[in-house]
Amino acid sequence: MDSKKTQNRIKIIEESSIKSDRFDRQKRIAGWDQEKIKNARIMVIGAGATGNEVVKNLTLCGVGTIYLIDYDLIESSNLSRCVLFNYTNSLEKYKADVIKETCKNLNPNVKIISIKQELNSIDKNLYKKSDVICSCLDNLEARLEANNYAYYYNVPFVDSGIDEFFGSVQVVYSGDKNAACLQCGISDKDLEIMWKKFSCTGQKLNTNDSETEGIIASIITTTSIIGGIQSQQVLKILLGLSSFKTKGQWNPKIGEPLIGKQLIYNGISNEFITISKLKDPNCWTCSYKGQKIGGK
Amino acid sequence: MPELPYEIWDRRVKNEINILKKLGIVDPKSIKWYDNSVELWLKLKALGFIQKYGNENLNVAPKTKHRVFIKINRSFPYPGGIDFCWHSELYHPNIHPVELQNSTYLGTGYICLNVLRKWSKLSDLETTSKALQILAENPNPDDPLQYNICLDAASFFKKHPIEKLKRIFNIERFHIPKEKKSDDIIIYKD
Repeated sequence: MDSKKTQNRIKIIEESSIKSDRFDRQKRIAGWDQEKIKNARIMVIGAGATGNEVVKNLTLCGVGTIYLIDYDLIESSNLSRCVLFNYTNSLEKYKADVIKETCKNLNPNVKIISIKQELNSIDKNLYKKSDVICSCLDNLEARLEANNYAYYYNVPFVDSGIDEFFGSVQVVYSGDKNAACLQCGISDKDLEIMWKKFSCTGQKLNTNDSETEGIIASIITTTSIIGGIQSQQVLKILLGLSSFKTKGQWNPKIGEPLIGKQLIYNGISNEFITISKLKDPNCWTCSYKGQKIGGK
Repeated sequence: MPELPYEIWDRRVKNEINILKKLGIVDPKSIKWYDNSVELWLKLKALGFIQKYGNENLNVAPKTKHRVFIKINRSFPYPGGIDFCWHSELYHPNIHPVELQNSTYLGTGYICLNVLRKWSKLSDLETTSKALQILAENPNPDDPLQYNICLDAASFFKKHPIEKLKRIFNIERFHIPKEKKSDDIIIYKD
């Protein structure tokens, strides 16, 4: 039985390709299809610490196109945890542009399109063009916006969050009708915190309250762990989605992504736990397909 | 604030406006659709008071019809997705109407309403409109808006609680529209 399994996994590889093919090692993974990776278009929202990790990983894996959305400039405080920025030529430049330039050295075949706009002003067609959407953001509002459009356009959405030694990754996909989306897990308290940022007239308030300011403690070890898991989810979706769409099952060699689930990393207790997220029947984003719009 | 994709937002807003139409509190002719917003006027029935001079002890008179302007933005149903503007005159500590009595200036239309500040996942146009009716009938003089007329109204309603005013004006119970059952779902279809 074991020998049969082993035989199935043997691939015939030309000796010359072992050294010359940069993707040789990953191609040896059962279920891997480098063409799918090469043809993929990934939207990465946020080019901060986690965004750096995700773009680096996807670039090295040979993803075809990355739409990188971030309008921020690089500051000194970014340099402690962003692998694609450096002290000599990155400061005061757009994060998206610097990542694009650095990644040319990592893999010149990857096309990175830097979009230096706020998320709510981007061309919404970009969501439709993408095969997977990754959110590497530091605020709930933008996350929810990305979630809403990803869900609407049936594009798998991989969200991550970081806080000190803690991190989480969640995948949303409207192709799985029973799976919760990001909005499903939003509480009234979250809405209250979002609203606190704005005055009654809808203008943004200046506040030193760390809860509303959005600046969170962060360390590269956590961001690289979470960025690594997030990138892996993207690859699993790219490699397994066609099987899920045609057979209703994820490729067993690649495994099922975290759709409707949240993986939580606790760096204090050195634990990973995965929880299933409950679908909210009154969700503003995903209940519309069940004809429950408005009202109760 | 985040926004929903336009089609979802459009369907939700149409459905919620339809609920208001069925409750008879929206003027259908007032609804104006723009690219990224909808404007409409609410016709609320609630027992409020306006200033009325002539009586030395009690300078108010009941007023039961009110007009509120509403603008629904693209960020609806997220917090701040609706702008409210109380238009018709009202003597109230928590409402600064646009039409100010005995003034050549216009008021701000601001409404100090907990439902707006504590926006929840179940908040919608219907619950908010009902909350406006309740607020009009139940002024909170302990938390007035910082406008002279609102501060004045606050001290007035502290001296003359609403129950006392109802007795004076011989108003036993003001009729507000019958509440729908909580499990009613109205689906709007084009």
